[in-house]
Amino acid sequence: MAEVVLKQIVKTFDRQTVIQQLDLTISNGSFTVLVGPSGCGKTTTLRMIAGLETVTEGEIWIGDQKVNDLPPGKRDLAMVFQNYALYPTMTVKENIEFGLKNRKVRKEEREQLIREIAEIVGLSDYLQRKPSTLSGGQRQRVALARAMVKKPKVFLMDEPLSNLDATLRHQMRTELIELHKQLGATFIYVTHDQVEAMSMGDQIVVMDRGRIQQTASPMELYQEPANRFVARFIGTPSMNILTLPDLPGLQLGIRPERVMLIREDGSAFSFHAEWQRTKPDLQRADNPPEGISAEGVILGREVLGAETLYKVQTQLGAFAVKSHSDLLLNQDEKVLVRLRKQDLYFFDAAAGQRVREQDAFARHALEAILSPLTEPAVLGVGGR
Amino acid sequence: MNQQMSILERLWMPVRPYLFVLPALLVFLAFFLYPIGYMIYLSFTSWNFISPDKEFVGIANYLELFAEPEFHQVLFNTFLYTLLTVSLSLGISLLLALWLNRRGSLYGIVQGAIFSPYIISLVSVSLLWMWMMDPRYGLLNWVLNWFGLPPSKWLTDTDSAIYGLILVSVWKIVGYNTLVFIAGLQSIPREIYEAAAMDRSPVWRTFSKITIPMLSPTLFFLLVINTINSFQVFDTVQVMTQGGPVNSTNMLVYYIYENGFDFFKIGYASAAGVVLLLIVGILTVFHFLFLSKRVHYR
Ligand SMILES: Nc1ncnc2c1ncn2[C@@H]1O[C@H](COP(=O)(O)OP(=O)(O)OP(=O)(O)O)[C@@H](O)[C@H]1O
Ligand SMILES: [Mg+2]
Repeated sequence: MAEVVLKQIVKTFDRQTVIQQLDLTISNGSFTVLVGPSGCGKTTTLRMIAGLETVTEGEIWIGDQKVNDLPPGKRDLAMVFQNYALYPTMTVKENIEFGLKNRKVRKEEREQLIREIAEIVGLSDYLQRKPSTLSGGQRQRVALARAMVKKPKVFLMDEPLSNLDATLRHQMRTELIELHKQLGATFIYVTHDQVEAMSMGDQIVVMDRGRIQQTASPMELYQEPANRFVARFIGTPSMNILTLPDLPGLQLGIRPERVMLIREDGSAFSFHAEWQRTKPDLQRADNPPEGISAEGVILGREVLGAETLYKVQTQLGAFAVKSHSDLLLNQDEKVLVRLRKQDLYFFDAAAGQRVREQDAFARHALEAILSPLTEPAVLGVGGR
Repeated sequence: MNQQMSILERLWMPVRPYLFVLPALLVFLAFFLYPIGYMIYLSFTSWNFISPDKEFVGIANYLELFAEPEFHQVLFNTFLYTLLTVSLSLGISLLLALWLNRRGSLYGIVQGAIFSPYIISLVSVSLLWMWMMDPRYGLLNWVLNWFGLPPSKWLTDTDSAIYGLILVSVWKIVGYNTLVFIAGLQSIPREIYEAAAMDRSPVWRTFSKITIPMLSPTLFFLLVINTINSFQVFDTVQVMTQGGPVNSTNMLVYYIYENGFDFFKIGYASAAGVVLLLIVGILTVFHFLFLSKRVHYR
């Protein structure tokens, strides 16, 4: 039906190549999110799909049709622009109606469609208003309605929520997910916000400098990042990357929420529940889990309410740590740092590619940095 | 805070804003309201510019004015001139602006070229065009001849002279109008056109439903300014035709000048001045009342 396929797409603006050899398949009915830092080429990619930007090289297919030379209106897709791009001189109704008129839809049918759509997006009372008299959220809905009324096979959205305040953004996020389920159309959604990407997409395309870094489901991106860029891009705060003298050519990664901090008096802090579960293993003297132990000191903290972020200095380097404990560690307090082997990621120091654990072991004597994590005295006391 | 204000301050506060606008107010009174008031006063008198006493004659000047066939001709000429100058220059400028509103050095050069008449003195422009319109040696007839068309007598014929003046004024203001239109076009966000393209809007419909409404403030501004300016045409008449031949290019301001400073009928000229003021005023009010509703301000 409406599978969108990009084959070997290259885009060059005045001799500057911004998209390089991009291959991507967006399956029918999926909610695909393009995410990446500013300037990585998300908007450009979306605009090429829409037909608002020409393709320098490569092919774009929608369904079983090659659309490279098809004008935007003929591609059977609708776009929601970042700044909505409503027609300012027309009323809400005329805005929604414009595309239908151009398609020569009969008047009764138009009225019917507009009434239905206005109902769905909650704009029935605002049909005679001009966009300038609406709030940001309402304009957003008009833009959505204008796209929906054409019943396209594919929806393109370029950061449609970025102009809304946090509460409204949250609400619209849920509504968009709901809408996607209802319509069953293909959604291609651009954002630079990884949280938005993770919460909305069923397929996420992480881009950087005009290249796709990884295409995967949200959970897979989080658990199995393909390289250092993706690992650091997904999750807040970013994954800690450590360079150890014992491991030339490799880098170690550990997520802030996977670091355990232990107070000098033995009470555990971050990542506590998970450690509690492994406690029986830790106490088995014959085969204790392996990991990295270090001593550290708290450099600073940010209290966010549900969680607390710490900056910890150790002999391995400085760490960000996320803790869900209600108790707080103080600045300059001494702590013990514990990292489990299974939580470690390895990356090629130069290329940034992910190195699987067994390959990392093959390249280096990792035993040099790993030690048994038995610390009965400490873990016996436990934390809160 | 109120308690801490001294009596002096309390007296000073309400006066202060008026003091700030006082200089502007004085200038306005001295240079705008006073001359207009004086003109209205003069229009009820008979005065020859030299004699010390001004005789009050009531509305005699107005009666004479409206009975005078020459004045009817002048009014007709002025309206015809304004109507054609404004509609032609707006139409041509809009087309030029649509064509020139794109990047590239060629378009920049053309923009500059069509704007240049605007900065040349109108007297030089008039002389230049007089020379081009010369029936025997002029460039225009040479061009007509080249295309196999019959020559025109241009400014020397009662039927064609006013069109010669219209041609000059259109030529002069098209550049300015075009530039203002281009500025207006460039303030229309590109995304709106992209949204229209996604909505399958045909070119003519994008133009009539999006470009024109979005351009309406610019259009309105130029309409008002061009109308007022055209009504006050003087230099070209003075230099090129002196109102002739046979009054066929005489227009209001020139008529006022002629009566006031050639025939020294100051009262009569003032009455014509009041009529000009009323016409321009009424037209402007009309524009604002009936057209501004259709103007979309962002
Ligand atoms: N019309 C253009 N002409 C020249 N360069 C352009 C043009 N449009 C985009 N670029 C360049 O292409 C690159 C990608 O731009 P793009 O707008 O796709 O980024 P983005 O990922 O959408 O970023 P953001 O999150 O900031 O919106 C940028 O380096 C930008 O400077
Ligand atoms: Mg963008």
